Amino acid sequence: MASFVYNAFKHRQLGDTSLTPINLKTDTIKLALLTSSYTPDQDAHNFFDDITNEVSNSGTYSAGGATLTVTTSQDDTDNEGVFDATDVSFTSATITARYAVIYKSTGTASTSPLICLIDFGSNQTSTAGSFTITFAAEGILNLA
Amino acid sequence: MAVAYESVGTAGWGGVNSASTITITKPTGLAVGDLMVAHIGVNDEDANTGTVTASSWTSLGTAILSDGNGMAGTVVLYKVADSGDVAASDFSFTNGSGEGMGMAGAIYRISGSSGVPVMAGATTGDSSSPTFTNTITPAVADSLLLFLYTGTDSVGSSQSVSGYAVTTDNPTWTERYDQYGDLFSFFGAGQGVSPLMSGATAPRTAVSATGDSTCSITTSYSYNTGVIVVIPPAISVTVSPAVIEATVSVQDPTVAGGATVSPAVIELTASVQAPTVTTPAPKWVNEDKSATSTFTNEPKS
Repeated sequence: MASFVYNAFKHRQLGDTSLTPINLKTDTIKLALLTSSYTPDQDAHNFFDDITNEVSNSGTYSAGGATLTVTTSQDDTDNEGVFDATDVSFTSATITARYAVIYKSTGTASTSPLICLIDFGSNQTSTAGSFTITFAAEGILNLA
Repeated sequence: MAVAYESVGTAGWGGVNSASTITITKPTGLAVGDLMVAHIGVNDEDANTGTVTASSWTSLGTAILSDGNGMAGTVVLYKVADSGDVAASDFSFTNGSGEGMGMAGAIYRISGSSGVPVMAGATTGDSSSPTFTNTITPAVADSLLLFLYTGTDSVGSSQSVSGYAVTTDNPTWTERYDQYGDLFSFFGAGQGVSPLMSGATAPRTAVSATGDSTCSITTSYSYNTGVIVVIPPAISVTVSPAVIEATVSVQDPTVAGGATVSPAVIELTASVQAPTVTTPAPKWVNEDKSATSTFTNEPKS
């Protein structure tokens, strides 16, 4: 399973008034870690309450994950819109995670829409250490 | 971050009146997240089990040599320090079968650890250079080893421990404490009156099995226990996911019937309209001012 953008997010960004809109720049965008037991569903998963198997609290990681410090920009060289964020690190943490889910947090799981899922490719483990996610130079999500 | 020894707090040997509980000074600089490893030395003139406990500490294991005439034991517990531990000044441990016991203790402060130590213990009889069959294999490289020794006998003068070693890939050991106890005033003559406990640390790169461990005592001791504790380092991970590309595409419309629409050019024509010119009527002039004047129409051009 490769990383993907949830279909509901794509639909949402087209301005359907029946869906909660997401402003990637100004909304509270969070990243949560999931174990390999989560079964990704690009089609059916819409809100954070569809997400299962979040990793347990450890060190500085707590339920719901961390709030991202987001930037958005325009890349005229590659003709893209860029969604990026400051790298995230959970310290003193014993964590084994396979996925990271990025979502808009409203404070209520059932109304917190999903944006995208990042697949690490295999389980990644920290033991009483730092679990750090370093985003690519091109950002998290490019709209090309 | 490497796993490292930081400090140790100790308590010397106590006799029968204080043996059921021992209070050990908190190691200096203790911080939240540090691993604490407690080495409790126990001795007795009788067979005993050395069941030492402390609230919220986890028992890692014991190495106890008891033959009914005497007993020496190394009891190991551990705990990851929280804010309450950092605020504390000392820690107490209780021996549930403390009758006639002597106890001493040490608490190591270890930074950068995984928080999950493992140990292997063994015992041996009369020797001044005891060898302990307690080989252990670290799970990861660059672990920290602790060598914990407890022995007892009746020798009547102060003794000490040195020469810590393991058989394979022996690292460089640093002794952290070496405590002799004179409990003759409590017990009188007997096997439990000259207890001895010591500890040493060594960073070890190798992940090979340690093989047996050995140390040297300044005189032969009848009851010897030795433990090797392996403390793995904390493990950090950095994940660098690739960017997710989302493509927005413009779909070409389908023109009904597949017709090609070729609109003609729109011509714009500009025409100059001829203006209407209006000239004034001729002006009549009476030049000589007479009654029979002749009027002429003089051209103005």
